Amino acid sequence: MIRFLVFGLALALSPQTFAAAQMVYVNGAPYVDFGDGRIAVVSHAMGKLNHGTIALRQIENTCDPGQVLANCKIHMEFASHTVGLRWSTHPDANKLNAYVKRIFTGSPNSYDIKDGFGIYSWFSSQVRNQWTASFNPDVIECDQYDWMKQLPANGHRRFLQSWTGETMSPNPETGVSENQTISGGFNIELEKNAAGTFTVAKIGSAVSGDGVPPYISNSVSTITFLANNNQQCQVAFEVSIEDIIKKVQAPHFYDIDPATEMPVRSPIELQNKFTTINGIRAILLPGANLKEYE
Amino acid sequence: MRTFKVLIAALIVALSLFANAGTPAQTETYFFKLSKSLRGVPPTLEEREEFAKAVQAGTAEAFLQKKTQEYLTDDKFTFKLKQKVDELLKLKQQREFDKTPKETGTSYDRLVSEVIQSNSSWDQLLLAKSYHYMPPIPWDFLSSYNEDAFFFIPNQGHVPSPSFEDYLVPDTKRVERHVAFAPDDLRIAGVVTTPRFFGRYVNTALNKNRRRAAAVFRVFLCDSMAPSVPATDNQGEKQDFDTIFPGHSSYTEDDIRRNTQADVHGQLMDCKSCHYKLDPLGQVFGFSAATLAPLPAAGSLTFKGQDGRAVAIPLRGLGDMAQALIQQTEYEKCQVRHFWRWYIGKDVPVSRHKEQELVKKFNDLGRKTQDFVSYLVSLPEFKERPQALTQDQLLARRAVNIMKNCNDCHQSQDKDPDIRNWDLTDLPYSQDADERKDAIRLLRKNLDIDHDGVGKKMPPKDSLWKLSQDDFAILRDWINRGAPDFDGNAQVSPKGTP
Repeated sequence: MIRFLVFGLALALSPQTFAAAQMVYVNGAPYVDFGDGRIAVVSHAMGKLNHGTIALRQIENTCDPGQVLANCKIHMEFASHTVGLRWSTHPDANKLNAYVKRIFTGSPNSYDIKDGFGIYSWFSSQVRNQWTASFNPDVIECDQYDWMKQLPANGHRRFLQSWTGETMSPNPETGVSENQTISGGFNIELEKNAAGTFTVAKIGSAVSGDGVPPYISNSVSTITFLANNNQQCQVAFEVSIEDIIKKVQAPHFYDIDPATEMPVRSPIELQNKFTTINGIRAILLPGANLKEYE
Repeated sequence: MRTFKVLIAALIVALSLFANAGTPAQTETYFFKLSKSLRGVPPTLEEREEFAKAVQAGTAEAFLQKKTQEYLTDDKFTFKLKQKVDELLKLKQQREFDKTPKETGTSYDRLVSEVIQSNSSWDQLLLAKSYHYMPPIPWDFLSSYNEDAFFFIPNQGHVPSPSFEDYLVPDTKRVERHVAFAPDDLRIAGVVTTPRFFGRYVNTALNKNRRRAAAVFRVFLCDSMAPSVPATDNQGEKQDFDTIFPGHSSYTEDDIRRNTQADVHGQLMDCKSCHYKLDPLGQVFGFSAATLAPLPAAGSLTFKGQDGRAVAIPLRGLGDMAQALIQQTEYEKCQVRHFWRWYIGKDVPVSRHKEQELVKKFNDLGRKTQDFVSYLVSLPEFKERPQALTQDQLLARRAVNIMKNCNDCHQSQDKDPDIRNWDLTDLPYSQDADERKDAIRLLRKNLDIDHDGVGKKMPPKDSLWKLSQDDFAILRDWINRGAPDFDGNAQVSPKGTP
């Protein structure tokens, strides 16, 4: 009896060695093989399509200071995008297609290894991904278009060198939060529609690689261009994304459309998805306790 | 008696051996100072032993020269000097020397370190067109700079995508990237076009890249954008107006109405004294916001030189800005003053004559970083043991510290060339005794030093800078003691003496 107790105690106290999980690729898509019969796929999916309006109130035109300032709206189709780790093979059939849950021994806390982001529109598909390419492009509607008079034009097309959005965020050198330009695009083309509105027709490149439209801002959105007389001009708008936020905060906004769910094919789909990335890295670390993933 | 004579002879020989190198104690102090100043650490025990042997052998001077060259190529020298550059640009400093920049550095860090390590021309800080950096850590959301996005978007429109391994596998090694722009790429200008510079000096719609322009003026031309002081006479006002609004004589009523509606701050006279410099240079940053834009933007380098000349150089982009800056005399003087402050000390004044010497040497050495530092640490000002200042010497330094404020306006804005060329911080004011007397009398009267400025003409009422009670007390004391120069020699008769 004493021998059993000692043996049991020794077993309990000995350091546990955990089998390591591994990355495997199936048709180019990343999977995590837990080595115990469980496999999870890194997958992504869209939420349902939403329609929203962004209000832009013009506050400046450096090349025509006397211009009557315009009020504009951007009509946008957008959806959430969720990336996460889902069980693709699991002895418990109820867990199939569920997100891998990280649990903590001895604690009620847990979280799903997934990330959702709310605002991808057609703009994003031009600079970053393809999954919003089927959305209708963003449309600009203003009460008047005097601010566009000096934009370089070719037929129905108008050209902007840059369109950027500001947000309050910490300065990486000083740590002090301040308004700064962080999103938007270069070499943007607008196309005039029959209704007199303008469609965002083409984006050359993104300001930061994220693909966040420049009019998604809690502050100011700025268009900079070279006028026909080669003068550098700046038109600035005060932005209100109240309507978009209301929709993002609505219940079930992040619910995925199962029909859109598929394994990620390109690493760019992981950009900024830190919970998923760090979650998978933790699983693949030598010595990770795989029993803490359900 | 004979023993005594031998002892005296030995003493004379010993003293003569150290005649050029200074006393052993002085030379050893210099050795310590050299090591601390260049590397941030004192000489090692082994080095001290080698030094002692060199002193005994009479080769101390050669030893010190050899050590200077050795220290200049030490990683610690690069680290220390880079810290000074970080401080100059007001960037976050790396506190500890624990990793080489190669392992951790951003494009800015690598560029500055390479300029120092390779003994390149200091101008490369502006002229460089290629960068090395480690790509961003895709799984580390605290990693602040996306260098790939900064450099690749303007060129290709597509950021190099990490692989799945880069994102997901814990021990994936990152591979250094190298991006090289064409030598004539107008968008690129060394440290100015790096994510750290752009990140430190962020842009907004309101700011219009003026913050970046102001940083360029401060760091490369030592122009701190002094508070403006408007002209106090009609003629002066007209000249100001002509400089700042060159086309105003043809303005229509509509033009005037438009100007007053636009950017009011940027149109007011007082504000324009800085804005006429900032706005055209800000335009050169143009379409660049968080990252470099695909296209360069035109603007101009506009300012009034210290010699009163009007500088207005059209620029096609930041590359042109870099070329234009390094050709300015203000740039040369500014950069040598930075080095003087770093290696000799900010408490050691630089006379105009000395400044000219330094600039000449800076240029003769091809503006090479290590070579110029080597020259500075060979100067008597570096070698001399700091002596306690006398009261008069200290007073002189305090007085010129106040006068710097006067220089800031007068040297850039005064219409009278005599006043404009008068450096109030350069003592003595003249070799001629009568001229010195006139200068001191003018200061005393215009500032009304004896009455704490009650009846002052300078600084003008509208000036943003005013002298405090303490400032008046210092200047009064200084003048009453004969306005001594930095060596403590009175420029005029002290008060109460004939």
